[in-house]
Amino acid sequence: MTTSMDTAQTDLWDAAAGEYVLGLLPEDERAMFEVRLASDVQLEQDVAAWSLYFSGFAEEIEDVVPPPQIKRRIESELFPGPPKNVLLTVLPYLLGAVLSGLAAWIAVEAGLLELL
Amino acid sequence: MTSKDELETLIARVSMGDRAAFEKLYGQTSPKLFAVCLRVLHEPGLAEDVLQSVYCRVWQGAGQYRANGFSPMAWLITLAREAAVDHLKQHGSPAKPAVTDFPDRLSFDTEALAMASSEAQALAYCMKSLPPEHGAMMKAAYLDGVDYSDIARIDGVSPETARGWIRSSLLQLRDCLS
Repeated sequence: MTTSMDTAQTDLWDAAAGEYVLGLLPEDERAMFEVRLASDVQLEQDVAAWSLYFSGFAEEIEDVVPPPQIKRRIESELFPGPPKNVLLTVLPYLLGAVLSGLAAWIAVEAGLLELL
Repeated sequence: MTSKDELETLIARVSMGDRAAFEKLYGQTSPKLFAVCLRVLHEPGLAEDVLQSVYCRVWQGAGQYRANGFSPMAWLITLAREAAVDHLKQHGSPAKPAVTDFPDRLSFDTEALAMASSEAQALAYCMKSLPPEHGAMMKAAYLDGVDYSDIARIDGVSPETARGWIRSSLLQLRDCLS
C-alpha cells in the first residue's frame, strides 16, 4: 500500500532528479544525490527520463556546422603521432624499388644481359 | 535526419574503437552539438573548445551509452549541454548576455517542433500547463546556467521561494509527461 509518506518521498526524489538535470541542485545536495544515484537504478532512470525530455530545449536550436579545424583538433588529440598509414603508403614504392634493383642485379650476375 | 537506430549503431562501433564510425558520428551530430555549445556560451572560440572536449569524451565513453537509457541524440545533447554550462559556471563567457528577466510566454518554434522528437513535442505540450514564467526559468537553467539565486534576484523573491516554484512545477510536469 502506498502511504502518503511514500508519495512524499517519491515526490522529493523525482523533483530532485529534475533539479539535478537542470543544474539547479545546490552543491551539497548534489553530492548526496550523486552518491544515491550511483546505486539506485530507479533514480538513474528518473535522471535519464528528465534528460531525455529537457534535451527538447536544445532540439529547437538551429544547427550550426562547426569549422573544419575542430575535427582535425579532435583527431590530433585522440590519435596523436604521425598517421599510421604513412608507412603503408610508401611501402609499395619501397618494395618495388628493392625488387627491381634485385632483378637488375640478378640479371647482371646471371649474365642474362650478355645474351642480348 | 539520422535515425535513432543508425546513431546507436555508430555509437556502438565507436565504443569498439572504430574511427570511421567516429568520423561519421561527428559529421552527423556535430552541427547540433556545436549549436548547443554556441547557444550556451555565445562565443565561437569557447564553443569550439567545449565541442572538442565533448567529442573526446564521446570517443572515450561511448561504451557507457547503452547502460543509461537515453536516446542517442539526447545523450549527446546532454553531454554537450553539461560541458558548456559547466564551463560557463566555472569560467564565465565574456560574450554571454546576462539573463535579466523571464518571458511571460515560453515560445517554442513550431516549425522546428514539427521536426522534433516525440519527447520534445511532449515537453512543449506539457510546458503549456505550467505557469509560463516557471517554464522559462527551467529553460534558462538548462541553456543559460541560471541558478536559484539568479532566479531570486531577477524576480525579487527569496531563493527558497524560487525553489518552491520550480519543484512544484517539476512535479506537475512529471505528471503530465508520464
